[in-house]
Amino acid sequence: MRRYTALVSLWFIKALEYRAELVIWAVLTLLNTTILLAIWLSVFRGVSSLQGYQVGQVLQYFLLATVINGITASHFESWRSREVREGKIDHYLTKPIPYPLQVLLADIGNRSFYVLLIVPITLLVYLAFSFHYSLGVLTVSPLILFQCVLLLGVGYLIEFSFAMIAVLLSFWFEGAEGLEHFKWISISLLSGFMIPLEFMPLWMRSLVNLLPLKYMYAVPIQVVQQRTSLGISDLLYIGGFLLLLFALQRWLWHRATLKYTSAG
Amino acid sequence: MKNTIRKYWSLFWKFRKLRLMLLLEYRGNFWFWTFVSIMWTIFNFFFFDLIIGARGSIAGWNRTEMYVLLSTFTMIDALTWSFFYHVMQEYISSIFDGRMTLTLTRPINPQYLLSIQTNSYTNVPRFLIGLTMMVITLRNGAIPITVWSVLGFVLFYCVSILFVYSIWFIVATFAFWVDRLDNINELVPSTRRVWQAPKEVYTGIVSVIFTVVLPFALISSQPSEILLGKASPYWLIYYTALTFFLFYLSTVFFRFSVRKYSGTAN
Amino acid sequence: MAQPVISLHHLKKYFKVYRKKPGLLGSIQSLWDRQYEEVKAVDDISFEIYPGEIVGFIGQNGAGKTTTLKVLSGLLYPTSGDVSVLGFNPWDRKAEFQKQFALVMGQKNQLWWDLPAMESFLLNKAIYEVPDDKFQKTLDILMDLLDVRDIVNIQVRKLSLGQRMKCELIAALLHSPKVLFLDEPTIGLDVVMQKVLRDFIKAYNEEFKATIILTSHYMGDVKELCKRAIVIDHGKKIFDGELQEIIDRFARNKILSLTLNDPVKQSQLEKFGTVKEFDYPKATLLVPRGRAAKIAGELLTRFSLADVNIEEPTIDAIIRELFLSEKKTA
Repeated sequence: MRRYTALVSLWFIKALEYRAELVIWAVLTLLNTTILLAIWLSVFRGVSSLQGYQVGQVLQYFLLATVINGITASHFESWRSREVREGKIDHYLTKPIPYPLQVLLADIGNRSFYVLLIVPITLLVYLAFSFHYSLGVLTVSPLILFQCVLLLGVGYLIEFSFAMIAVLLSFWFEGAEGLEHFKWISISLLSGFMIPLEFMPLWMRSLVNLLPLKYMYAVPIQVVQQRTSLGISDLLYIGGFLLLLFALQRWLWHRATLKYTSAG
Repeated sequence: MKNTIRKYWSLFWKFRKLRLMLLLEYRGNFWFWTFVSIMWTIFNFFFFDLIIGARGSIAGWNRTEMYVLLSTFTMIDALTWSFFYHVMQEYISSIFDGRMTLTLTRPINPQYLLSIQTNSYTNVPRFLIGLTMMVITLRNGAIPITVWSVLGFVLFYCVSILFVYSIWFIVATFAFWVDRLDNINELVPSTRRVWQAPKEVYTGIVSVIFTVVLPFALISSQPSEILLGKASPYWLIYYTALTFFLFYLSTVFFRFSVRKYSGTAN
Repeated sequence: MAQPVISLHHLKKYFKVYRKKPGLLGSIQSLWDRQYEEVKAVDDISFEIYPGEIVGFIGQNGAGKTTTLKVLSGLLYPTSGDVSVLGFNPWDRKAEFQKQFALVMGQKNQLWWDLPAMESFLLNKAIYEVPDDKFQKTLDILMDLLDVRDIVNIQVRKLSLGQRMKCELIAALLHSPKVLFLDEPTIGLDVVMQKVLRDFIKAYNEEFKATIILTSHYMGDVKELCKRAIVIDHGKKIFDGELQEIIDRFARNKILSLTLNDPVKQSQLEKFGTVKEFDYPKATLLVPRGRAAKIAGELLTRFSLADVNIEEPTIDAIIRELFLSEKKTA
């Protein structure tokens, strides 16, 4: 266990050393949120509610989405894929911890610092907005809290798995680092990150409801806004999907090691 | 002077030729990234279409006008991404890893050399998509077009390109002043969502920031407003003057920063 | 006497570096409290170099060699001091000046990795405005000297390190620079390729009458190419003169190599000098320079020797000794 915490702590130190970069990411994330908020405010100009949303609720929606994004979003696929492609992962492979686990621990260490940075800033922005707009009441009951923590974990695992699959695919394909873009676009559209489900056309809403990505943004926000609650079928669906992702990663990693050791 | 211009012109095309040769070396890569860039364009149009769907307009810009704006954005973004993203990436990494050394020993204006040395062609199809969307929108929306509005559009398209270049170059030049900042090159492209929305979207302090202090909101808005016949001469004059000032600032800041350059010792 | 091509007076270049305390606490502490140190990369160096000279610039890692070369090329602004190269102030970076020198760094390349070297040559031709006929003539000479005619149209990434270095040199020399700064040009190359490059540098110096400053970790490069050497250590110049003078001044010992006919004890040999190696019948002794011949005679009378040789220590060993003696003095 100690070696795992050592790895996490090492990456936390690294994140501290590269704090300027993380501050930039935090600023950019908030910039993105600010623009989304400005666009939605302009859409709501002159009306009090649209598609069942008050203006304050929409603002709350995107502020919560920023917090979720800060906690769950992974960005390592691009440079990790490059490392694989340039054959720079030998030293990871000689360590007595499997490579995917090293990537996970590194990401947790790195992310811990980022979360410490982005969450308080977003909450401050949230507070600032709450003075001007009625953002809706945040009820914190144990059941809501439990569902939120659970869904944040699920969101992180989905993000991590997608990124890890892209890294593992780079053992075979040069363009794997470009998969980050596919991940970003599909999550933006199909998880409710960029647009609430209620503003989507019917066909798209049915598609989103069918897919598991909604558990990353739309569902946790709806849980906080008390528009929905998780049922047994949701938990089964999430469990099944995560198992599938895990199995896929294991299989890819197994194939990748064979490929790497045979091709050098 | 004439000789210098000829030399600089020919060097510009020499680099384009070298990049084209490289593209032909890696055709698969080209098609892949072209696909990614087209996907982003579709995403942008689709995303804004969903938002427009809520009310039928955004900040007083109806669907047709928003499409003109998004087409302009696509054309500006395609060009700036093709050129500046790669140029600035190369510029920044050459500062960090000491390769800048070689550029500075060349008998040519180093800022010019740094600004033309690389590009990608993956966004050319995207530019064409933007242009096609623009033509279709103008025709379907029955927007009256005159020679002057087209010339004005082209002129301010160029001003916007110069504006983006100047800001981007200034930001990239900060790499001289920090030990290591790998994502410094993401700063300017991350503001692209500001360029995509009409300037009227922003109100209060945000409006002051994005239209006056750092007028990213004017990048696509100004050329589009000319085409739509709703441009204000005051904004156009302010935008042009600021752009030229920023360009001048980029050259001064570069010269000043080079003095600080230490390169990697070995 | 001719005017110096390069002159440097009281050059200083200082940098500030940040020192981090170890561990997580150190990282957190560095958020508000950072300790900086001043590093004197070059500390009051002066010298002059005359037309056509090849000067070896010797020093350990971090001694200040590359920093000095960068100041001379106009890449670094000195903290203080006067510098003139070909009559120019290097950091004015005038095009006239830049067309007259070249900086070759063994660890950095200017060739386009995915294209044949010829494309980079043509690009440099445009950048340095080399006329067609002169370009062709120089290229021919350089290609012949380095024997690379067959490889200049092959992608650079497919060339060996040695072939790449040859092409790097050509790219740097196409505009026929009068001054050449070579920073570790033979680094990482095998002995055969090192020799080829040395011969080339010598030939280039003769053909184009170029003034050359060479830094290298391989003393073989310096020994073969340079009559004059400048040695720097921790940013200070500790020697400037003929290479032979270093040997005379700093080689305190000579090496006596013996082949014995009869077994002797090591303690018997130790009376004559420091025994460096002893593996009967071979023995190596370090003896004071001035007494080498006399000691050899004494050994011959005292023991039965099949062979005895008096040798100079290698230049590497002398330089090592020089740096060690400097360290002790410091």
